[in-house]
Amino acid sequence: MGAIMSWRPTDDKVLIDRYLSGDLPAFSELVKRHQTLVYNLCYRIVGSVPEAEDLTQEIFIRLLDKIAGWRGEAKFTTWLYRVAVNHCRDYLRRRGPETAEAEEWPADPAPGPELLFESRETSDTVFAAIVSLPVDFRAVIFLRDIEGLSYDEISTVLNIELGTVKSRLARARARLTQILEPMAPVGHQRGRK
Amino acid sequence: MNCRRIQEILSTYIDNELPASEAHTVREHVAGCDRCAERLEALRGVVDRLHGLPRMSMSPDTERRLLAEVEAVASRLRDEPAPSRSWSEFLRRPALTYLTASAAALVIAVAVWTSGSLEKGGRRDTMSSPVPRESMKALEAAPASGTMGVQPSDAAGAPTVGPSALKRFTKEDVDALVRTSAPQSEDRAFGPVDDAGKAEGSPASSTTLLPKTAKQDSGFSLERAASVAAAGNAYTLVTGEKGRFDDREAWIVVIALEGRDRRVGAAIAIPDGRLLYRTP
Repeated sequence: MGAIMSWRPTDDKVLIDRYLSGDLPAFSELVKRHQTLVYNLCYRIVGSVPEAEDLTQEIFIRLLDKIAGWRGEAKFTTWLYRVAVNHCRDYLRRRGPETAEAEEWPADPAPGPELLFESRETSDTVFAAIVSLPVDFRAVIFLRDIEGLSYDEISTVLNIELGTVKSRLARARARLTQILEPMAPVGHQRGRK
Repeated sequence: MNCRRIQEILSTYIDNELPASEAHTVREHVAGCDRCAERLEALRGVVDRLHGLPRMSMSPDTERRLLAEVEAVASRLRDEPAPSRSWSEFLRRPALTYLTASAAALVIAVAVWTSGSLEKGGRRDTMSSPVPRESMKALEAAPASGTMGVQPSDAAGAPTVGPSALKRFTKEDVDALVRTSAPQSEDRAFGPVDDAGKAEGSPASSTTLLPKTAKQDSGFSLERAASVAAAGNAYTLVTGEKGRFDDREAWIVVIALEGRDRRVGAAIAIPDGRLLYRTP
C-alpha cells in the first residue's frame, strides 16, 4: 500500500474515514481540496461574492457534522454538490427575491465591437443572465454547462428523475437563449475558453 | 416531428443524450428547416458562452479565514463533553444548525455548562467544576415539573422530584404538545403565567413565558429557541418550557407558523441552539 499511496493523492473516502476517527487535519485537507468547487457553486447560484463566501463557510461547518452521514456510495463530490445546492436553495428561500440582479446587465445593448472583445463584460452578462433565472434553473445550468456533470449525476445531485433533468435543462437553456440571443456574437467571435 | 417538438429536444440533442433514432430525426429536420437551424445555432452559442465562464476562486485571505473558522469549530466540537461516544458516533447526533450564528455564544455557553453531571440522570449535582455562581443559581432555580400554560393531557412522565430537576420530554411528548396546546389570542405570543405571583417573582423561572424572565437564563432565551424552531419563517410562540430531551437541557417550544394553520413542536438544546427534534 505504501508504494501506491506515495504517488496518488489520498482518496476523499480515506480523508473522511480519518476525520471520522478523530483526525481533524484530515478535514482541513478536504476543505482545501473542495473549497473552490463549493465556492463556485455558491457564487454562480446565489450571485454575489460576500454571500458566496459566507455560504461556503456555513457549508463546510455543517459538513463537520453532516459528513458522518455520507455512506460512501456515490462519489463524495456528487454528495457535496447536493449538500451545497440544498444549502443555497434554503438560503435563497429565506432571503427572498431581490431585484438587484436585474440591474446588473444592460437592457438591450447593440452588439458593437467593444462587446465582442470585452470577454469580461460578456461573462458578466452571462453571469447576470444566470442569476436572473429561478434557482432550480440556475442549478442545472451550473451543474451541466459549468461543471460538466452527466445527466445521471445531475439526477443524483438534485434528486430528480432523468426526464426532469432533460426538460429542466432544456427550459433553462431556452430562457437563457431568449435573454442572451440579441447579444450573441456574430460570425467568428464565439465564446471561447 | 414538427418544429415545436424539435425545438423541445434540441437541448438534449446537443448533449448527445437523445436515442439514435430521435437524433437522426432532428438532424434531418434541421437540415431542411431554417428556423430550427437558427435555434440550434443560438442554443449552441449560449452553451459555448457558459463553457467560457471563468472558474472563480476565493482570495488567499478568504481561504485562510475559511480554514481558520472551520478548524475553530472542529476544535470546539471535539472539546464538547461527550465522553462515552466515539467521534463518528458523536457526529451522527442530530444535525448542527445555526452553529455559525451562535459560534460566539457556544464558547461562553460551553464554559458555563461544562459539567459531567449533565449526562447523569435528571438531577444536577452541586459540582466543583468552574461554573460561575450566578449561573449555578439559575440552574438550581429551574423549576421541576412542566407547568406550561396548557397542560397536555397525555404528556409522558410524571414530574421529576427535586427543585432543580427538569421534566423529561420525548419526541412523542413534543408531538402531543403540538396537538393539545391551544394558541393564545392573536397578539399574545406567550401563555398565561402559572401560579401567578410565585412564578413571576422567581428570577430564573422558565415556565413563565414572559420574555424578560426567559432572558435571565444563560444567554440562550426562549425567543431564540422559538426563532431556531421557526427556521426563518414568521411565527408566533405558542408555548415553551425548559426540559430534558435526549439527555440534554433543552427548550421545548411549540410555535405557530404564520400564514398557515400549522403548529410546529421542537426541542432546542441549550446553550448551543442545536435543534434536536422538530415535529414533522
